[in-house]
Amino acid sequence: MEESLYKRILLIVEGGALDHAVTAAAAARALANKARLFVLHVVDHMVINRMKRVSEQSTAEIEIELEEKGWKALYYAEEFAKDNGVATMILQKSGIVENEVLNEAARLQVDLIILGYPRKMPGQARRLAQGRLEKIVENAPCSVLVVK
Amino acid sequence: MKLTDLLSEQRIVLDVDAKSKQEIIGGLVALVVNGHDRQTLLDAILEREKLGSTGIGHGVAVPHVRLDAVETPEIAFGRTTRPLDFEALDDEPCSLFFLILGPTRKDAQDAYLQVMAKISRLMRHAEIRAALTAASTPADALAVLAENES
Repeated sequence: MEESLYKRILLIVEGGALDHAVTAAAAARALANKARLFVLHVVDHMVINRMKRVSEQSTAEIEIELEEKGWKALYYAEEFAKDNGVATMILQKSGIVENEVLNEAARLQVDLIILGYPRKMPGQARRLAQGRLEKIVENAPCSVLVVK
Repeated sequence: MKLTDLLSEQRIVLDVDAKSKQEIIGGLVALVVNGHDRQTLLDAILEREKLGSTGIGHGVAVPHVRLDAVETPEIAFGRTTRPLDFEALDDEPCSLFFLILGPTRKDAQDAYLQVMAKISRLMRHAEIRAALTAASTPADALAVLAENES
């Protein structure tokens, strides 16, 4: 039985379709373990660069869109978790996702990272996601739970 | 939904001499208390704070709560004379505070989340925080938000 194995859980949200499922999984784990939940969104510099290549939006417009989407995801997670009695705090960082995740995991001394991995992704997006996940799993100071 | 449609000069207070989280939240609650029971509101927000600080970093806090009595999001803004320990994740004390009341209706959640997202996004920018810190009057503070929101 998984009682109180984890005291500090780091949930990664991306402002995407999987966030609700990952949030529910993280809140359930946190509740079961009486753990504190930290929710992190990273404004992904690689996504900004990709969007600049295919969009007419300026860098500033893209950043605004990604930041606000990220904050919405963070506040959704916070509301959901607190509604379920889970102690929760949120933060947004900017940079290379895997680096920021690993930095915050170490800084916050978490014992579990929870993130999502979409089942179906087109070629380049899948390769990037795989590389990111691999780096996090290999270098995380704790266990990693992947929600699909 | 624009922030400046939800925030008025009457809901802005500058240079509050608060010494604690409870004091500044109490001061902001006083700005939005019309139609709400003050103590119920204050208790609800502080209860929510116990489940995790709403300090979002860089000296900014966004205490918020949903209530049945709220139809559309309501905002108040306050600035303290000195930074307060708000137990934020970056350990930085806070001097800029946005209090947000939201509705509990499911169909209104998106607007509520959008308001908080917009405020949080704006507050990540040092120049906007600096402008709010330097604002001399509530009208100036409102103008900072209006100018940067669009």
